[in-house]
Amino acid sequence: MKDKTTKYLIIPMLVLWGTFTVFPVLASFIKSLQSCRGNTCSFVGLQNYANLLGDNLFRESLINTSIFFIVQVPIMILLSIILANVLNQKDLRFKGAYRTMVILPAVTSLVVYSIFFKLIFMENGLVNNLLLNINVLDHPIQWLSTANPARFVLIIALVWRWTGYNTVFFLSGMQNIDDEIYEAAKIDGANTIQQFTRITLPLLKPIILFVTIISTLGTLNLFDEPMVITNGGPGTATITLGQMIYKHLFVFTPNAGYASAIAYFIVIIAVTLAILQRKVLGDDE
Amino acid sequence: MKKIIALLTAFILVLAGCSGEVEGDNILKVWYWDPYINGTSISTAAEMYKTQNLDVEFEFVEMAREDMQTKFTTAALAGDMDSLPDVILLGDDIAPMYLSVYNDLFATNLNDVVDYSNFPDYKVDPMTVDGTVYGLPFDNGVSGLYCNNKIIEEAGLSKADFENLTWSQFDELGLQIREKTGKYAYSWSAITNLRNLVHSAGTDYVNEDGSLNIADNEILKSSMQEMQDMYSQGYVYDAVDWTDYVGSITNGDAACTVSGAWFVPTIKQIEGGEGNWFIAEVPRLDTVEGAANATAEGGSSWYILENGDQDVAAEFLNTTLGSSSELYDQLLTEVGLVATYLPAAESDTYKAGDEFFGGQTIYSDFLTWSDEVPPYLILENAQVAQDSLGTYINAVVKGEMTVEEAIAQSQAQAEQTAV
Repeated sequence: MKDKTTKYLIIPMLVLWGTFTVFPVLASFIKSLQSCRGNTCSFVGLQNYANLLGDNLFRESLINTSIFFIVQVPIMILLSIILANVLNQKDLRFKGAYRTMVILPAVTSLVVYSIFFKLIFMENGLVNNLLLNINVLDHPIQWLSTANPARFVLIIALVWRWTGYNTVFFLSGMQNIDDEIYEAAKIDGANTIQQFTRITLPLLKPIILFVTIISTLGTLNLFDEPMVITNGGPGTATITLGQMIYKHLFVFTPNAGYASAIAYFIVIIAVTLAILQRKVLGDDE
Repeated sequence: MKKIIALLTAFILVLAGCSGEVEGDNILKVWYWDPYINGTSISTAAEMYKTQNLDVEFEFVEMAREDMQTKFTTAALAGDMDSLPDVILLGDDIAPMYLSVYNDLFATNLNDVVDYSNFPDYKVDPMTVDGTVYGLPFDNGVSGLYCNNKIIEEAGLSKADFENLTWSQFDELGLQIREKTGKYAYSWSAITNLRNLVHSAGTDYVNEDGSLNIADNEILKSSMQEMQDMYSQGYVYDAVDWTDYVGSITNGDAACTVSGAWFVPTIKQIEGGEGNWFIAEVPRLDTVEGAANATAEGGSSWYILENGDQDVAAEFLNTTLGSSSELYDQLLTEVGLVATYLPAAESDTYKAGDEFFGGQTIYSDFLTWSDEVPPYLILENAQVAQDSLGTYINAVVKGEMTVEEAIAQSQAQAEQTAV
């Protein structure tokens, strides 16, 4: 096929991308400069952004999102690398079965798994009954109606759901590392831990960067789990930015302007964090 | 090349599949939640209407209540009227906001045909905007104190002890139940319970002009204080959500709860519960003068949208759910729907005792109590206020926060969002 024809073949994709990605992004930016009550909107300039800074609920959700981000992402990445390393062992039997088991949480429905976590952690749920029966506790913990336990439950849920998903990235990264490098290291007398820290980790750097960035984006957009498991509660202990957007559109008097402003705020944070992570992890390519 | 053509064709087919529905086609599209009570009610009404009007067809769409609100708002914001139904069921708590924000989406046809003197004011007032009534009142949210007689008797008490109570009298009974049986005496969803208390004293979180009524609301303060006191006694089960709440009652973990008349079918599903339950009037706040032994919670009404066959829709609703005692008799027997249609109370079905509740005439009791529900306001900002109070009520009942702090912070938070 000649070059000219190839050019035209991009057109349908460009049209779709323009309609469903570029246009909404621009339109929602314009919305974020308006204040709305249902379909009646008026232009308010940067007022929405100024209001955000003084909004307690917004501050709470920003704090919560940061807690989830700072605690959950490192734990998850560490676990993923360890799991991937174990699954990458040459002499491991039933590799296929283990790999399937690891990816299974990531293919379950977000809502379904959230409901299960909620049931497990209820006052008369599995976890409390188990801990009471083995005498670790003498009275049940109110996991979902006290602030820090509720956050803990959400973090556990997120780790359970996303660790396997990230393991797959690390696993494919590890399989791309040439065996010869390890053989050479062995001859030079490097032990397993040295091989891991000196060869595997440095060569996985681009994957670590990629996983960190997508996990950051995922955490900033966190919605399903807090919505189903705690509904943002108790109080505001687990409310997230995603839920703020939902509330301003579907719970309160619909204000698409304010909701868009929150969405743009998330974009700004996401871009800043991505740039920072690139700097820190030093992506040379 | 063939593949590309095939792909394009598929794409065009997908787009073509998204075409709208035709107006004036005599097909009434109805949205509702809960297949059991609401679904049976509207389809029974439709069957009744179809015997006279053979040319009208119905299309029923059932979905979760929250999903329906989300879908409605999305369609309304996008101006996509084709995806909206002709008839929609809206919760009484959310409807005033919709009526105010999307006023031009709602048809006024019901106002001309329905005789609203047949419905209680607490239902009709919130659906009235500038003198026009927009909806048809449907199920009755009047509340009762549901009690598990087995636990009550185990604690050495009887039904008579629970009649015409104040909350401080309930306190004593609650402690006795907790001590003698080790079970919870009361189960609540904190934010719902707060609204019940506030409504029973005839006020709400907004003023008549729509402004917020939180910081200076003495009744709200007393209600919160009451709840903090109750919880500190240790006899209250604080349910995390609806499933947890229903479970605490149906599993027999808690003896009593306050809920709307629509809770009866849920109670009746308890296996082996027959004869073990009674319903008393809700306790009143003794710290507030003029507080009633009655409140209402939940409840919903039907609305017609300015979209398609409004006249047919209005005629359908008025001739069935708007004026037929026989229909309400049938629905009460079949699914336990407690009506707000006042003439229904005259029928023998409503006057009959219910064996599940030991022969108690619960339905006429409910209708008697619904007369006593003090009028309260639900306006656009009520939802915002409720949400901000919901943020702090949990901390208040657990004593982690004082009532004054919670009220001040709720007011501040609600002010940021209120219109």
